[in-house]
Amino acid sequence: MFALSRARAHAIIDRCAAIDWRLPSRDARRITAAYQRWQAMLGLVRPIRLITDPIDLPPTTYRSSDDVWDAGSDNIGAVWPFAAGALLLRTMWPTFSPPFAPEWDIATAWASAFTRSRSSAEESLAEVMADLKSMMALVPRIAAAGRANHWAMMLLNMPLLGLFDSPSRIASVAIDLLAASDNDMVWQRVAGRGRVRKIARALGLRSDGLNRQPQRDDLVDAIIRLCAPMIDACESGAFAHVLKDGELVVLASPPIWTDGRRLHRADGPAIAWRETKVYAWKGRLVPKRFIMQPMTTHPDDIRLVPDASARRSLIDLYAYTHGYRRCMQDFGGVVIEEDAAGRLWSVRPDPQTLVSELTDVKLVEVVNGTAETGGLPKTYWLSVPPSMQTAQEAVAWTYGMTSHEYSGLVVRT
Amino acid sequence: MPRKLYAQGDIVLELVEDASPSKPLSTDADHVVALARGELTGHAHAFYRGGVTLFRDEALARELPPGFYIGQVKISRESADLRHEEHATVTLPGGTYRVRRRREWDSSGDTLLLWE
Repeated sequence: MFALSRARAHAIIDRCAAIDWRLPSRDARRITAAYQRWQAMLGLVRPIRLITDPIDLPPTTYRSSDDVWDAGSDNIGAVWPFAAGALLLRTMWPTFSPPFAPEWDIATAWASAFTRSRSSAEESLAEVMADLKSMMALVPRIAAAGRANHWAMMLLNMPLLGLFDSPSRIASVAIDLLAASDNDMVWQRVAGRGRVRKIARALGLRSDGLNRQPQRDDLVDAIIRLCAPMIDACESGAFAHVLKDGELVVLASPPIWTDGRRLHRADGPAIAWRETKVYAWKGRLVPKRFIMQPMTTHPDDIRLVPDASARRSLIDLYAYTHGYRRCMQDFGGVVIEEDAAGRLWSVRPDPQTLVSELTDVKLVEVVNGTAETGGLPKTYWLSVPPSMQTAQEAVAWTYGMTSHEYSGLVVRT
Repeated sequence: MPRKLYAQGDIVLELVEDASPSKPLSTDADHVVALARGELTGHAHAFYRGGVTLFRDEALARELPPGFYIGQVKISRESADLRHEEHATVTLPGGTYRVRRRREWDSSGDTLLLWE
């Protein structure tokens, strides 16, 4: 009978994949209906309030995590039922991250911590809280521009404990779960590790009502049952929801700009609600001025950013707005190696600090075989890992090859 | 001896042992075989004159790091031209090629697969 479940799973996957986050539609009636069905399934009865801008959500004081959870339910797992996600996702992607897509950008920060906290219970909670704390420490600094921005940041950074969640993440988890369910190898691993009952419980599937071990069909059906209302909500323009003060508050999707796979916009906000705007560069949230007044950025502004990956991201943005060569000059970049493949540059963003070279920014400058209109060859700059020592090794790395394998290059245009 | 490589922008083709196409990926009516298409620009790395088949066989890409593999291209003519709006044409001799995409180091420290 698995064929039938498989067909249903693929129909849902196709539906999720067809949602275009960049062109949100909005159908308030359908959003409300979707959330009513979702609540009914989870045993919740909350008035539903639709808002169109995060600023419409009144400020709150975050208390202990116990208060954050829905007071009306004594079963957190029932409200946020994707504990199975981590198990299946980890089985599917043991060594690298899930595919990149805008919805993952929006949700990655909370999804990773959320799935971790759900999957291995207490021992990871401390880690999650530490992540949360460090993220929150950044919020006031990043959001200095004003309350609207502050709230956007809160929305994007706070949902770690399930306070906010987004249908987009649920839709994207649904895709991953269903794809995993359709993968025989994954299923065998899950079954082989004796995780089927645990996953079934996480999906709200009571195996004591079954006279047998839950089958793949049972899990697929349970996943679809749980996801379907959220996919409806997504298709109708829901962006995020929060259980708050006795209400289920649903935030409508804003216009979103991406580079096809990450939040990204070079000339304006990447997420634009009515008042609240969020600026992002290649998937990373950045303060407004770095995007809107890039020419006022001084290299020291970037050097002072404490977070190393944020600093790398801002250097990349600086290179885009000022040109790579100027960026190398302003940040004291040096060519550490040059060979037939190109030039390997290294930048130490904070020369005052004695840090290992693993925090350096490395870029390889590659001269293309194709001439531009002016007759000069086109130059590309590619970010590479800090461990790279030669340009050839760096260019080879970009194709997942060793230097030796790359030496077989016949032509490059 | 390393395999012969032909690179065009963000994709690279490596000459590999001949393989029979398992299930060819779609080719449009004009025999256009597009290996990768830019999400924003719509520009494509493509063959336009027939005699070229694109197929995927994960078994032929087992040793590749995850996410790189685009597919296998079989050129059954003497040669075929790979074209792209922003890059010079690459002429590939007949044979079977494994196609992979390029990645870039992401500022967050994760690697990121690129396509144009």
